[in-house]
Amino acid sequence: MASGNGNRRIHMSLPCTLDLLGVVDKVIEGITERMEFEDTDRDAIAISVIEASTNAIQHGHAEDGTAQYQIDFEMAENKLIILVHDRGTGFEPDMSSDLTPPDLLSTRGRGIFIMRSMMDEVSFDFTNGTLVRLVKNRSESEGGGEADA
Amino acid sequence: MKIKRDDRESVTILHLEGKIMGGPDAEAFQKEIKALLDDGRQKVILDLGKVSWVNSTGLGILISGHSSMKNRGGSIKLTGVNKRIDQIFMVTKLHTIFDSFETEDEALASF
Repeated sequence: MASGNGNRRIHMSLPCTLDLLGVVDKVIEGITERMEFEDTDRDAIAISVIEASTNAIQHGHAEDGTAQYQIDFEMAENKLIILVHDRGTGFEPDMSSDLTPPDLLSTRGRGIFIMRSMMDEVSFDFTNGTLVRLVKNRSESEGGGEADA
Repeated sequence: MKIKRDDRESVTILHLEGKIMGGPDAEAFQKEIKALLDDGRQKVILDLGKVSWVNSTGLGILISGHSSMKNRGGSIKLTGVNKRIDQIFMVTKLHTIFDSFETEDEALASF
């Protein structure tokens, strides 16, 4: 973990296993509470980061527990930026389904739709594996926050 | 995810606990649904009161169970849905295929 110049940054490197998603969830809970996000936004951030992490684990590295993926949290004054990065080969999102929900009875294909529905910005970079960038802005009612605390 | 089966006359309540997120959860849940269908039990309540969260893979597991049950003339209803799970159900519109009830008694009475 490191901090400086007004923004606080947290870096995590995790094995590609689903059973550690609970650890990610707890870290998000701590960050979003500290930044004074409202409950609905806290849930939205947690759901979205878990979706991006699930993609990294399942599609990026086929649940290979010896591989690692990374999550970076940047606590800026008015927003939280999250980067989820895997260096695998497998994640090719279906962009056609990113703005509309899939068939109700489909058992797959909701991850990107969920992220786009819940975050203010969602973007992808496939230059070196998959990098997902998620942004949640703080509304005025969400107070001064603790980005520099 | 842990699953505990509780038969109440014609209705079976499956008490789920933990997180529904894929991996071994899918096989465990499908095995339980298959066992219910083999036993001729087609009225099922999923008690999610001790489930903290569900990811999109977990949603797929629940949908798969719903489809298996529906194809055999049965149905799955929900109770104990927390705010976070409710939020993901609303966004994905899955609240339109899963009837959800505040209490177990209400869910039992709905069959």
